[in-house]
Amino acid sequence: MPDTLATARELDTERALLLFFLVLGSALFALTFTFEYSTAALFPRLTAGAIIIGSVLLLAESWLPAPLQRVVAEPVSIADPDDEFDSAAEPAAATDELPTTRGVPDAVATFGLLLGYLLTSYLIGILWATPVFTLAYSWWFGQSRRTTAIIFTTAMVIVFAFYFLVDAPLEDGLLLEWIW
Amino acid sequence: MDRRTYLQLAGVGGAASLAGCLGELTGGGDFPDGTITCIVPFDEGGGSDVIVRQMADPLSENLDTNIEVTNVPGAGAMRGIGQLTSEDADGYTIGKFNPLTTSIQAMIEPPDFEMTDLEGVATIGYNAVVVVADPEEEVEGMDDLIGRYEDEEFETIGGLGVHYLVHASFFRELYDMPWDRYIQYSGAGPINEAIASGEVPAAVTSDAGAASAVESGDADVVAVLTSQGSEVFPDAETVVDQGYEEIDFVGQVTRSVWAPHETPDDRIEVLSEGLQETIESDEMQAWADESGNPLEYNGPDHANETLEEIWSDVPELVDVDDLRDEAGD
Amino acid sequence: MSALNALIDGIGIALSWPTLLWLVLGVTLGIIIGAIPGLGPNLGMAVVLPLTLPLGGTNGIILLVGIYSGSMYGGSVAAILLNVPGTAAAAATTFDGYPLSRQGKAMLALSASAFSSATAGFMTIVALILISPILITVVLLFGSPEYFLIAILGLSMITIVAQGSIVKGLVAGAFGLLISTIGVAQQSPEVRYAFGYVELYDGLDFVAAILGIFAVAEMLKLATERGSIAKQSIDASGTPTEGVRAALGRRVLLVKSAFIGMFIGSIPGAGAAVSNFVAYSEAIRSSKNPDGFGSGDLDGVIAAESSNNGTVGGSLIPALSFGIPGSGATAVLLGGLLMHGLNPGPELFTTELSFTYAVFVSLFIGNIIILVVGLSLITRMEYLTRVDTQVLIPIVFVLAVSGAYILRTNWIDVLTVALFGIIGYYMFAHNYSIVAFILGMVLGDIAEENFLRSLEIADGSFLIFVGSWPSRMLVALTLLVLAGPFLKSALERSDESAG
Repeated sequence: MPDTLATARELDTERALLLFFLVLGSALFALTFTFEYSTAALFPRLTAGAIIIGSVLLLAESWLPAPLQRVVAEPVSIADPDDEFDSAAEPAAATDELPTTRGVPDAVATFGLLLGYLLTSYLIGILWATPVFTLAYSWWFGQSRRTTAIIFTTAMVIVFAFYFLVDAPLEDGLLLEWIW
Repeated sequence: MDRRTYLQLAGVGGAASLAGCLGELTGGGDFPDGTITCIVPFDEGGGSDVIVRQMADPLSENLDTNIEVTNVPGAGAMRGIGQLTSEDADGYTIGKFNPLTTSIQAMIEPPDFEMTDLEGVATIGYNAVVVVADPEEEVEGMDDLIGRYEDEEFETIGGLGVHYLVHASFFRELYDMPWDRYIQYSGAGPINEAIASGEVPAAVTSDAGAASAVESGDADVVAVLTSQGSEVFPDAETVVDQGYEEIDFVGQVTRSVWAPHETPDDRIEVLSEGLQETIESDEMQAWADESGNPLEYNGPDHANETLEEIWSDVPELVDVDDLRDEAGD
Repeated sequence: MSALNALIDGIGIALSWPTLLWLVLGVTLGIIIGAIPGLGPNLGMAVVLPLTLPLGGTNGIILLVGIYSGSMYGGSVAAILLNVPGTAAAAATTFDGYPLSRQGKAMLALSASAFSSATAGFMTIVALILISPILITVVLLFGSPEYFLIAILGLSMITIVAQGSIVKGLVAGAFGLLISTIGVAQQSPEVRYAFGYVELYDGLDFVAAILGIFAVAEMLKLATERGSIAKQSIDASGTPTEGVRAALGRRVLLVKSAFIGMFIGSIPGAGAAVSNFVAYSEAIRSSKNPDGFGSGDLDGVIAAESSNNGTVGGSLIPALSFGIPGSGATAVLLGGLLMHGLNPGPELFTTELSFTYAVFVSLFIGNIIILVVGLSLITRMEYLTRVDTQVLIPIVFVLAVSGAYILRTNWIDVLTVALFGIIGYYMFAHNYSIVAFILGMVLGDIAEENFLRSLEIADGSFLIFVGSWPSRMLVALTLLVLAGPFLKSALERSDESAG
């Protein structure tokens, strides 16, 4: 059943996110005890403490007594609509399956391409990594030549605008520093 | 008019690049023969930034080259000053900051370079440091203020970041003012607010920073800390007038221009003369009057002396470790 | 300087060159960004944020405010033509706007939307300028403890406005506050969580985090919704003047909705996403013909569209006076203010008053641009709604990565974009309030500074946080806000069991 599969996947990432908060909160909480100045430790200790308490409550949600469970888990809202940040288009009809390309979910591929872009940028500079990234992106998603050209041109206009107008050192890359 | 308006006016001019071309045509191998970068180790729109951007156009005309202003804020100006010290000492990179608050920052949080290695190019003006008090408290001069702290009527004293903690410490060491807690504020605006609302009874701040609050009756000047007096508050009494020991080396914030260690003297001289011409021009003086940023040129030696005095006298009078602890709790 | 002089100064700044150019550019960009489904004011402003660095404070902020204001109108285009709100602020516009365009009255709906958006903008900005002297008085009551408390109140408000559990909202907010403590501490020479990396001494840049959350995470979300936007042809016959005439015939509704928008915008934590629904509901409640709503009543479009532009003016009140944004877009705006060294609070209403008025006046002029662009280019708007999301994603990535890099030429900022892109994506997916996180990160420094200073003033006593009547009021409000939803649901349950 794709439905249960989707639910299971969702539960897993939800739990992983909570664990991430818990581990990060605990680590940063513990590190405050290595600080030399007490004033520097106070605020991070309080905020990390809030994260620890919150994430433990959410993790332990199903074992909590019913009234507390409601407090922790129940979505509350004084307003029904989505928040303003939620500006992406709502799908007309929600599909159960996430869109994939070449067997890889699109969100994963998109993030992978972004990471590749960052790494390439770090190595050879944003100026040269950008055309590589846009071409790789278009190739992966099998876009038409016209779309590829639009993306490529727009992206190049953007980086060259940054390069010349803002005078940003976009050509700086680790590898290029060795060569020059 | 406010300083942001000036910033805007300063940003509009575009004559600088043209001047750069002329320099190349006439100069040959002479200095300067290319763009001079001026590092401002503070945020855009701050006091230092506004003055530098105001000076950039006339200075580029006087030096026949392009002046590029770069803001490198962060780590209490240490990031930008660190960058300046690491640049080639060829006169093409200079920096603008006052030696007082940056040195205090460096004493409390030592960076990986020596502030005293910097070569002075010029001092271009100064602002007096003043003590202000909440008008509702009706403080009458330093004697009265110190008395209130002795009576424990007052406990706290405010000031800009860790920088003016040094002044507060001098009050305790030299003037026997037994304040209990030094409260840090992040700028002249917040200090004015704190004084006006009575959050702190008194504070150490710069004359230009306090000007608007004093004008509107939200703060009283108790004393000016430099014996030279304040151009902003010409009628205010100095600490020396009131019979206290002179603390001039921390009593004023000297706006200065610096170059990296071992920048050749002849290049510093060229830069310094260009600055003198700029500062003393009618245009800049008119701006100085209008904006309340007194501008007055002094040569490289004055800048170097000011810096040396700070580094020899401050550690002698206050324990830097104490300062560090005081800043931390 | 007197308020009148400052206002005259502000008008001068707003009308000066090139400030006016940036405003026109901002509003036009905002309309485009709002009209393209998948983009919105948050993303648009976030991507432009690093680019405002060389513009300077005044021009940069006016550009951002222009985008904010323009996108409020732009959002209605996709809402009316496609039944897809370009922004959440236009969600209620779809209810009657789309049926109208199905009936071949798209031109009527779009021109009425442009006119009511602009008119609501005019009225609320004038109101804002009129009440600004009162704001100064209120702001001056605030000292260090109150500034800390209002930051906490703002975070709490956002927690309950966003959907999802309150605990999740608080975790998100605390996460933002905690992240903001990375780097050199404010009041002591302590370097926190830098692990020896000099690149981390100044902490993570909140602009980079904003780019990660609003640009990368939004695009990742869009990648999972590929091809979901239906394409259909639109009948755009008619003339813009009929919409203007229709809106003029509903003056009372327009004025009422505009000020509902302004009022809701002025509550810290509530934004246009809320106000357009409230105004819409109020339009139904007061209508003589409530049954017509939902099937193409122009009243619905006018109510929703005048309220969301009214919200812009209102939302500037908490953002500029206390530094508490009411929405994602104002959080980005606040980031812009701080980035340009402009601190929200009394300074903006005293020494920087002419700057503040310049922003207000620009907003006023911006509404003229909305009117002109909106009415003259209606027939072209449709193209914008057809932009393929597959084209948007790589372009937004390029903007985000280059933008982050030029902030401080620090690779940490680029990494921050990717990191918060992925964290933000999962926070979205599991209903953690992203705005609470961003707000925590933007407000972190201010909150910590005022928190520590308050304790220092009180010699370590936490009682200072209930030591004055404004602070007691803020504490009470925060508790009420946090407990409110539970009280509400408890009441509802007891109603159910009783009935």
